[in-house]
Amino acid sequence: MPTASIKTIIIITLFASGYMFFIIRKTARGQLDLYDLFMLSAVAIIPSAFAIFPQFANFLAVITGVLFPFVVLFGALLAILFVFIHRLTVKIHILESDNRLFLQELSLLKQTVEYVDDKKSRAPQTGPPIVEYVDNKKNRVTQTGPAIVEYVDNKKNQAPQTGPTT
Amino acid sequence: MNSPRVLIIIPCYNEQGSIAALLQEISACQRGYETIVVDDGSQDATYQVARQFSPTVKQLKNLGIGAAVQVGIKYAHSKGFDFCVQIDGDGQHKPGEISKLLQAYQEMPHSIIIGSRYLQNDTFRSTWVRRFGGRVIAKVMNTLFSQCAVTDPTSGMRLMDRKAIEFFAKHYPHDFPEPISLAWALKAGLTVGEVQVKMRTRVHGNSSIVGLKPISYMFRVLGYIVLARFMRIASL
Repeated sequence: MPTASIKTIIIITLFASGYMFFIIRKTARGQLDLYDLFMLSAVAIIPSAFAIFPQFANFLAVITGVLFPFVVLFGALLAILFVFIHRLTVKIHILESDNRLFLQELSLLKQTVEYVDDKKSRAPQTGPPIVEYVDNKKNRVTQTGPAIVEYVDNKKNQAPQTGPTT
Repeated sequence: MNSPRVLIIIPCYNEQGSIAALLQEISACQRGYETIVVDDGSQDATYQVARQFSPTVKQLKNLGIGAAVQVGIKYAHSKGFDFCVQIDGDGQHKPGEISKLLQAYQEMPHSIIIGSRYLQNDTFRSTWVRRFGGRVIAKVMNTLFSQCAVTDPTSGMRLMDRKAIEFFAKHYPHDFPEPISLAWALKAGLTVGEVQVKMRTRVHGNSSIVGLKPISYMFRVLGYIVLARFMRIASL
């Protein structure tokens, strides 16, 4: 039963460790989710398992009826890759649909806003000019009490002095 | 009884040369049709020209004719129109023929009335590849959907009633929209009718479906039609 040499195991272990560190860091930063971490880590875990545990690789080769264990290795990696790509394709399709929907709704909203703006700018004035209306309102306000200035003065004069004057 | 409110949806892409004449022609019909031009991200002055004559929606990005038509249908749905009629922005579809679609609806109220080039006479000039592709698509559609008997499933001139407007506002295909929308509508239980109309040859611009593209178009459309026949509309 062929086994991997120490040199091979060291190289594979170094690659696997570096790669796992890389993708775990990306996951911690929110750039990958847990599902992506699990699927991408197969690139490191499966070759490591086959190199460190050759009996396991041979066992799988016997079960699948394949002569060479590395065929099982590549087959497993390909299967994981297909599943990953399938999920990405579905996700892209959903994002595409959502993107199209948002663009449509935004375009309709923009048209509505422009229509309202156009309507406002073209609307004729049906009442007296705004300035006059304000003036009329001011003039029409009846004074029900003393003028404000007078009221303040009265209050100042009436407030009892409780402390020393400033 | 109030006359029905009709909205004409005109999807456009780089049609600055033909859109003004088309809108003026619609206005000259004096039928009280309202219009909405949907500019599908044109790079020319289509939007500026169309705005002078009609409410215009400019899509922020080119999304294709299916998305553009759906924007028009959503507009019709939100404004409560009774009918919407889709015509092309290149001037091929004569506005005067729209009344035939409305009349056909009054005689036999199908949810969708297609303006067919081939229903009664076969005089419309098109390449043999396109004609062959259209015939095959029609044949397959009529076979898979027993309640359907169309001759021109790829026609871009069609009338939709409120039921169709409500359906298409939610579900409208963005790839090969003309034939696939019919398949989806038939699957959802809507009915489709046809009436013969006259069409003009394109005045400006060129078709994007040229050469042998109609053959690949045909195979892809057939795939989608077969898929539509057997899938649930809720999963659209």
